[in-house]
Amino acid sequence: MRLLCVSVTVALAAIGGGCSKSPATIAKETRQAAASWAATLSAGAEWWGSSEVSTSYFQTLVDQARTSLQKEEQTARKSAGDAAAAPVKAVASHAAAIADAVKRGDRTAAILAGHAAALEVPAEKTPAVARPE
Amino acid sequence: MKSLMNVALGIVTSIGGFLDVGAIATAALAGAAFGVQMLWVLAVGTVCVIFLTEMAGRLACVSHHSLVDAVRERCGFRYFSFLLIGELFVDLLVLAAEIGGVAVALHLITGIDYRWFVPIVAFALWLLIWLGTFSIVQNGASLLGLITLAFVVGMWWMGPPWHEAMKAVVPSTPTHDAAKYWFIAVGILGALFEPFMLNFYASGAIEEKWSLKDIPMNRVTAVLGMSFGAVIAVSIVMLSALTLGPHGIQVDSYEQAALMMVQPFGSWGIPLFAACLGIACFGASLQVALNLAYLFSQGFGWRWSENLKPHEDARFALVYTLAIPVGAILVMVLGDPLQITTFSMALNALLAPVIVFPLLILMNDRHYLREYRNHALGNIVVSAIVIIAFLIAIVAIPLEVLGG
Repeated sequence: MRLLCVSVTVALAAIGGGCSKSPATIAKETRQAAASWAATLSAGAEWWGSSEVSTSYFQTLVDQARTSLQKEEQTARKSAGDAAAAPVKAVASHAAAIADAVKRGDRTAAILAGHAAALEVPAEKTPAVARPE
Repeated sequence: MKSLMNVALGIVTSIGGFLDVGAIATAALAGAAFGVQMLWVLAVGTVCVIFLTEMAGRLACVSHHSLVDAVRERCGFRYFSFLLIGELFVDLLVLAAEIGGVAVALHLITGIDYRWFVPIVAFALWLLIWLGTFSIVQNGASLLGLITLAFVVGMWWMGPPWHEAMKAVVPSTPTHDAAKYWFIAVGILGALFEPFMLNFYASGAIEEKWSLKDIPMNRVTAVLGMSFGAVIAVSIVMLSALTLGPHGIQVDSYEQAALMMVQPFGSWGIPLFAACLGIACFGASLQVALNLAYLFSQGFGWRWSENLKPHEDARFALVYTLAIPVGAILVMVLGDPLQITTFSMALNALLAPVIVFPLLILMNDRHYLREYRNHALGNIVVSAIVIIAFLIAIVAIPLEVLGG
């Protein structure tokens, strides 16, 4: 039993140790997160513009985006340097512009800022029907 | 007529009980990231959960033992202690995720920080269990849970790619992000065969005094109920694949997941998603909190029943009275309900063998099941799926947590 416990611990440590994140992986993940939030803000702004989502929900979405982007930026800067954090920073600045637009009730400005974010860090779109291997 | 009503009620119960925060979160994640490609995981998991649920119900009908009760008796107190620690840890995390899910649902509607709602939700949960009976707790939450059929309507409205969806039932490997793919696969499986659900189901059968004549009803409930539940989970995958993925939106928070309902339902979309999430999670949190009380009471031989007044089974009441605040504190301390959910669902897959293999031993034991023992097919299917899920979990959890 003791031997089994030790073996499992060693195996888990080996798996864990062998796959700690490299700076390149962190940079890739950071970019993906930034792109996903940019796409979210863009679509959300469009829907807010056409009154399909409420102002309170859109405000919540933008706040969540800013919080997540801030965390991503800190992680990326710490582990992979300023270059890796750049896409997140870019989207965060557009998110701030959208937050201001929401406060003013300016739907057009929010849509424009959302589109700008999505253009600056384009998201990889997943078709509903992915092609499996 | 009465038995038909029982079957109908059983199916309704299963639809409401099948879907919880884990099923919603993992299905939304899968659809946004991989389209309909992961439908096969749901198909495999549903087959397994049908077998498992039917077995847990049959055990209760024939032996009048709940799962935990029988495991302690058959495998001894030492094994039961191991199971108790594992299930306590995972159930508390799941309870935190469910309470967090209700709080997030209220946050989506009001815009107020979800943490403010956590104590209110926890108190409402405790009050309902304290004052309610088993049928109120189970059937009330489950009937309200029918609102989750909105996901099916939404999917239908969006025009799902049926042909491709049918093809996706055949297992396939990912073309990108393999670690994420397998981690979500483990999460989906963990959300489907949550250990708490099996013991809750068996305990419910004893609460409702099922006997040998209820075996056919148990079978129909397991097959139809779980299949209907799976249809809702499939709808979430498809809806997420049709609405979020094509925009490039990944699900990193519930705020993003809620957007899947905007295209089919317009301005009703977000409130509808919040209602589905809130009701499904509240129903599931009732089940998890009660299951913790069942776990301790049945394991230690205390008096137990949700149909008794709290002063008649004080230790049973004490367990859920302590568990609910602990779950609430966990969600406040750990933060990010979506991450708690995905992680706890993966842990469910790790814990599954600890409860499923004793169940298989019991289901083949003449002393408990007499002539109602398992056929070989059930044993093979369940063992194979649980072992595969366990192995994937061992590899995928460290890969996802520590890096791609």
